[in-house]
Amino acid sequence: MAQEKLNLKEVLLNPLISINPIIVQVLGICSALAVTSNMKTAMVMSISVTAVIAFANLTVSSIRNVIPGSVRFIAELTVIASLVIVVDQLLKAFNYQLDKQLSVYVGLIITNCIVMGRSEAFALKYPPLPSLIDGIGNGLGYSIILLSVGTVREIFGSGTWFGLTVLPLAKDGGWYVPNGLLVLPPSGFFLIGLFIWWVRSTKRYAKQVEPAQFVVTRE
Amino acid sequence: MASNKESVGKTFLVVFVLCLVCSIFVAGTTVALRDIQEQEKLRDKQNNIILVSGLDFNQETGDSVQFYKERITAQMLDLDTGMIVSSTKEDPEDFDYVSKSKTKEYKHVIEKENDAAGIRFRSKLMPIYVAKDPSGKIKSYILPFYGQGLWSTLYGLLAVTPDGKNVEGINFYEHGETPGLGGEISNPVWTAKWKGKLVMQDGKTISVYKGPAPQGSMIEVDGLSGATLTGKGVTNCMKYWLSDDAYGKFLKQLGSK
Repeated sequence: MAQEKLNLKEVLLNPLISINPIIVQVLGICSALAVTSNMKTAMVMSISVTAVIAFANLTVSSIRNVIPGSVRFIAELTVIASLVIVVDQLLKAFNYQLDKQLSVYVGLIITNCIVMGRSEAFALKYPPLPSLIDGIGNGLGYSIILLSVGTVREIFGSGTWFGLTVLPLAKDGGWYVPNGLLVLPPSGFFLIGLFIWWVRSTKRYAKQVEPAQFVVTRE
Repeated sequence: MASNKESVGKTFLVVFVLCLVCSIFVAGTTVALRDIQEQEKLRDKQNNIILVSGLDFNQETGDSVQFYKERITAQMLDLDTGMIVSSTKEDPEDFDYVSKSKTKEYKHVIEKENDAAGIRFRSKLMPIYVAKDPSGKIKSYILPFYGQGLWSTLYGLLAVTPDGKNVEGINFYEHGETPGLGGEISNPVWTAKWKGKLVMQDGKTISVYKGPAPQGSMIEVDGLSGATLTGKGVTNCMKYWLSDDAYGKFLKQLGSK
């Protein structure tokens, strides 16, 4: 098993922006749309997903030499599903209110492509420590986008941030009339689109640049 | 190594051991956390009841479990007669009226023309909660209800004054409406508008108006912008649950006392 030397710092920091799972790899979009209408749910979701990716990577990587290739997906999924159930149970016990708000989305972490993707693409090939760090890095990359989208959506959609009033709403006697679109899932789509545009057009971050599919020529 | 790792026997062994370890891990967590979870669930329910009761309670500093024990009692109400049933084998504190409504013993089918809330059947018995102020005088009766909203079933509690005529409070403790639009039905600023309104007037039940309610109306509540259909769901819940097929008889009795 030949492997190049890994730079642990890069493993941790690259997924934050330059190979961010959401805006560059465009994975895990559905939960990013669903739970970002307010910060509390976005925060809890970020922590949960980061914990699941990190531990799933660690576990899968530790047993990577005994997992038979023919059933590796099932083995990875078993590990991930167990972790997600545990996270869900913990939330039910220690933050029942938020668990109620997140409802099915915690369970749906199982199907989050980032978790599966990192196990398959990274943890199966590298030792436990880099895998753990890769998991944390990707979890943080996911969190950064979730929290940024959540910030914009909660402030301009409901006038609050983490439930604290930022812009007093007209209906509660303030002056701000919230933008109703921002509390609906499509706005998450637009915001993520803008993030993708920003990262791809910033030379410093744009590491993943494909050759142009069409070349425009002028005669 | 590769061929050994891929053999059928080895595959089964690895998967079996992995599943075993995972299931022990999951089952262990569930069992270890069950008590805390049940407690949280109960606390959440009691908090909602206290919140809607109109009693003075500081959510941050007060001990809700103790407060609930002192001030609130659950009783079982027979909706057909509108009477409180004192002897029943069911514990009103722990009566799941939604799942019980499906059992043969407690199922009451709602006739189509009455079924405004869109729930088809309900339990014959409903737990109601009696909230008392420090002197022991009844402050409010809290009636649980549920019905179809726009996307989801709305579960709520309606508190009425001891004479059964006015609203003391309303609270939706579980729903899946759009956050920021229909989800605003759980916003305390909006639910506060219900307080003091009449439950019923000239045969009409309290309703959510589309837009700001007409000036001085005692039977209509301001609508939420962007939540017309959720508001309609709330109105329909009220229409059914306050009718004679549900709490109507009980409320009339309170009024005639």
